[in-house]
Amino acid sequence: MKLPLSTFLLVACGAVHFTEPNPPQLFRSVAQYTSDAVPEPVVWLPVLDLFTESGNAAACAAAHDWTLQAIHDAMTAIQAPQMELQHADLSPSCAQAADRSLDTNSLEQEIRSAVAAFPSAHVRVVVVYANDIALEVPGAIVDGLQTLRQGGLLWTMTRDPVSTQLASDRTIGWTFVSDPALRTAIGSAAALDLPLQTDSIDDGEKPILGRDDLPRAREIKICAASQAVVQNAAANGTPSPVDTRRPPTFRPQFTQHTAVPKSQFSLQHAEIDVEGCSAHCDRYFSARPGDLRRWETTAGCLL
Amino acid sequence: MKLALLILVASAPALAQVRVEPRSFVKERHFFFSGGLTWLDRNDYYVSPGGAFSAVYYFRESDGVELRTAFFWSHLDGSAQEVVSQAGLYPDAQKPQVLLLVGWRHSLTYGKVALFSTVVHFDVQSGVHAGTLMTDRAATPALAGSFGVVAGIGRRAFAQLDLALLGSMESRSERVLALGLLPLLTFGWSL
Repeated sequence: MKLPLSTFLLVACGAVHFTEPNPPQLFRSVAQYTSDAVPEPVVWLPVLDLFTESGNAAACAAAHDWTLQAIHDAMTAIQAPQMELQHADLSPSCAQAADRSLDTNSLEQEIRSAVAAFPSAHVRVVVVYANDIALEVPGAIVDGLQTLRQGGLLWTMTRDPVSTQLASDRTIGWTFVSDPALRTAIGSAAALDLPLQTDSIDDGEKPILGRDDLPRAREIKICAASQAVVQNAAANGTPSPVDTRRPPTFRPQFTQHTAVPKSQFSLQHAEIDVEGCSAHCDRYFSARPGDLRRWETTAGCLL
Repeated sequence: MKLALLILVASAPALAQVRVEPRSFVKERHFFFSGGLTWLDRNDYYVSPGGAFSAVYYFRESDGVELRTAFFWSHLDGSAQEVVSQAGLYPDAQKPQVLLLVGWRHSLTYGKVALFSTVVHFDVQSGVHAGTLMTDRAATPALAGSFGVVAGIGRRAFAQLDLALLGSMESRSERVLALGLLPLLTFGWSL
């Protein structure tokens, strides 16, 4: 496309724009606060519901021992205060009787005791249910496990359809007793989710302007604020005068997360993006030739 | 034919007295010094009248080298002054102050014209000049092309009227090629 010569001369040759000889002296800074994480104690309750060929007591005992040890090893590998609750055994003879049930009352009492042992912590007991047979479990067992799960977590070392039936928080697929891969899988699950994490939040007032910026700032605009409440300044992008005796501050506005699996936990960030003006705040700012805006009367940040 | 003869008839008797006379406006191996007035118009919100000086040495009848300088008394025009007084804003164009150019003048044609009771001998000339336009902020590179007339007044005096297109690279809000028209009228003496 050919441009007319007059257009070329007008645009490219000697365009004159008005400029501000004393533009506002602006600076931009970001104030941030990030929550911390506190690891919670690892408390676990093994619930065994194993089946072996009829009458093979030795195999039953070996299966019990190996399963308990695998769970124990996985949990104790975690760097945090720990407590292993007395395990529950639904099939002591590995027969999986149809009328077996969980003594939830005594187990809940055990859980309450564990919680009391860590008074300053947020304890969520990890109930680890181990079942090596691919048969749906009786409703009483399901109900019992769901009762124990309240306020805690349910992990399963099971096969389908039990895994699906219990809809656990974490499922480790059962293979066979003494399988190193099964041991590794329970260890990996523990490393992934434990210790449970709790937010440590300091919700006190925090300065928006740093030590260098506060003395020079005459006015500020809040460009953006995320997960924070601004104080002593307007948060809508309009300018606010800075009073060094009551400097602009912010408080983080976080949702407290308590005893969350590590894989689902993330630190929370509060951020205030601020534009400050140190001189000539009533004058024109130009981001590009010909675009002049008075900083004080323009909403939003211009840098 | 390099030299063309241009005759304007001012009156009927003059037509009747047409005759050929030898070239009287001779430039070869002569210096031509002149001074006068100029006006730089760049559409830059500045009014730039000025004084101009020119020194030309013709090493040939049709070619000479010229040193040209101009001083401008630039000031903002009325509309810009109103913006300054009301909003405190200034144009980003630089204020022209001094123009220094060196270049070459070339005679395109020679002629004479009968004007009332006298005959004026003149050259139609073009020129190309390069140098600098000094502003209130910087010395900017400048280039000019001109077209004009040099006319003899008597034996030694002469008048020189040029219209130049002046371009200079100038840093405004962005770097631009600033174009302007530069008419110059000077009067001088040849040596």
